[in-house]
Amino acid sequence: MTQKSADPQRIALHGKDITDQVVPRLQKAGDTLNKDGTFNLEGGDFSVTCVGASTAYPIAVQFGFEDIKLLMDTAQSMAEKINTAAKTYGAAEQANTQK
Amino acid sequence: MTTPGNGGSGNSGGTTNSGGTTNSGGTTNSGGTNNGTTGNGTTGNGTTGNGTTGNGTTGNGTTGNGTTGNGTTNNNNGSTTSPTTGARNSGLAAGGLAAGGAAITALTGGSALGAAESMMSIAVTTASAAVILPPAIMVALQFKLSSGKPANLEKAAADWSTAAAELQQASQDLQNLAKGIPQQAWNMDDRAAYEGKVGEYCLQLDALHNYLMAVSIALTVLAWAMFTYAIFAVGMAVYLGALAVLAVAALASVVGSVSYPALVGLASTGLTITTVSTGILAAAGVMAGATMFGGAAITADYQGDHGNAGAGAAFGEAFKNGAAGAAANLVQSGANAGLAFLTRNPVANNFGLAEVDLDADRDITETWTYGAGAKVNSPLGETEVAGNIKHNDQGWAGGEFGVNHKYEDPSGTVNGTVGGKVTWDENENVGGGFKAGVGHTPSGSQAEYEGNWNHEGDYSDKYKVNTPVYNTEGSWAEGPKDETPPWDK
Repeated sequence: MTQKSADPQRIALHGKDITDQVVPRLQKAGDTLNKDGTFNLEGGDFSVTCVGASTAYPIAVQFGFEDIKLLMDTAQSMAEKINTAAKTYGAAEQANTQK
Repeated sequence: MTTPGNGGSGNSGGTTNSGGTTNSGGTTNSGGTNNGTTGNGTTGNGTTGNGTTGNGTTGNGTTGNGTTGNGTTNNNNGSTTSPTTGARNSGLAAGGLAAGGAAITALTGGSALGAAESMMSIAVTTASAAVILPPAIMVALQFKLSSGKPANLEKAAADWSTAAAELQQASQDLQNLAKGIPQQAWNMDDRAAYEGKVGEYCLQLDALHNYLMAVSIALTVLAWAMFTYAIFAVGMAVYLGALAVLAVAALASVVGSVSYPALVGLASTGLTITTVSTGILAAAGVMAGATMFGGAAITADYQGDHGNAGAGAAFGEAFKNGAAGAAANLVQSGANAGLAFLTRNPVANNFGLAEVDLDADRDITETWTYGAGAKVNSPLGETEVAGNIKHNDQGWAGGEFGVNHKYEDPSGTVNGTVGGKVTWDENENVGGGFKAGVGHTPSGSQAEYEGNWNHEGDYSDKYKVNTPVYNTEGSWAEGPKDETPPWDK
């Protein structure tokens, strides 16, 4: 078995990286879909003949919104769990060195 | 070629030459050779029709354009007499321009999709002008129903693809970040478990990326299907226009012209081809819809398999909220189809309501915008009424309502516009404005006045007068403008 080690600061940094780098990308994806002319693309732009597409489009937009929001929440909660883990390791290390 | 028929005798001969010259196109041929004979007209037309259809199906933009342009010239040369030709010629001339524009944008690498809109309106006008052949009316109706804005679809498609790229980048970043933690900084057992979880999560991100790309591609494909259809429509409209001119000759019993029933038969074939093509476009729409809708369900399912318990709920939520927008589009499509049918015959059109527009859009902050609008044509001109209200989780959040009216007197001397708008926000602050203009059509003179006020009672205005001899603009509410000399600017 290799030696077990954990650097709480480095692990905490990873949590911060997720919040600072990954989440904003998802945010930007959501904002892009939320642009005028995209989230509210006119039914008439599809023409009456393509009603099959104009009725599905609003659902596609909403699914995009909901799923992006969900994945943002997931990323955020992953970052929080990483932070909790870092704190636990930090506390354990402190407890060990103090003894 | 059609025109030659009109001329009938010697004239037609003369006309033909021009036809021949003009028209490099297949259409022309019929004109040149055939003038005198019945058979010619038929053959020529047949050829044109075929050519057009081929183009439409293949989607060869350049060819289609070329044909149209040529056709245009011919008709112009030929047609001195026919009552239907006037509208058609102007439409065709515009068609040549639009086609040229399409070729240019294609060459310059820009999107040619914008040309589809003008092509469709040309096709509707041209096919409607062939009213003398009953099947042409139904063709024009199908064209009207198939007129969309593919350029807007393409723009939205670009946003979907940008959003997809962000998701892919997020997935890569996260994987790199997780792998980038040095082993000595974290090599406890839970690290492997964490990396496994990151992997699953990235699969979900990738799935959503794929879905956004699928929507983007579906929109793009549909936009180009609409463009291809527009090329087909212009070709078909030119064909019907040619038949209509022959039909005028036939009904006027010009010696040597094709029999009217034969022409109606040819027009019916044109209608059949159009119906098939419209069916293909509709199928493209259904396929795009299936990609968006079915893709969402599959994505949610896939994400569920990869540890995302909420994906199914996201789909349910999307369906619930998207359905209102879908219903608005469905009702709007249905209503506009009905209206297009009622107003399909340009000669006997006395149905005033031209278009309705219904919207229910929900943005990412969950604010709903409900909109409604209608356009009414009456002897007094064209009136447009539109409004929208916003609703979010705090309640009603403002809105606006406006009316616009356009008038042009039948003798063509006076035209005018008048409009007003009221807006209010979530704090019930009301503002508004109005605009009135009057013009003298023959001289091109115009006067406009615009006034606006906000909820604090501030009033601002603007006036503008343009005539061939005198131009001025300014504001009465603000007083005369400070005339800064150009050298002080």
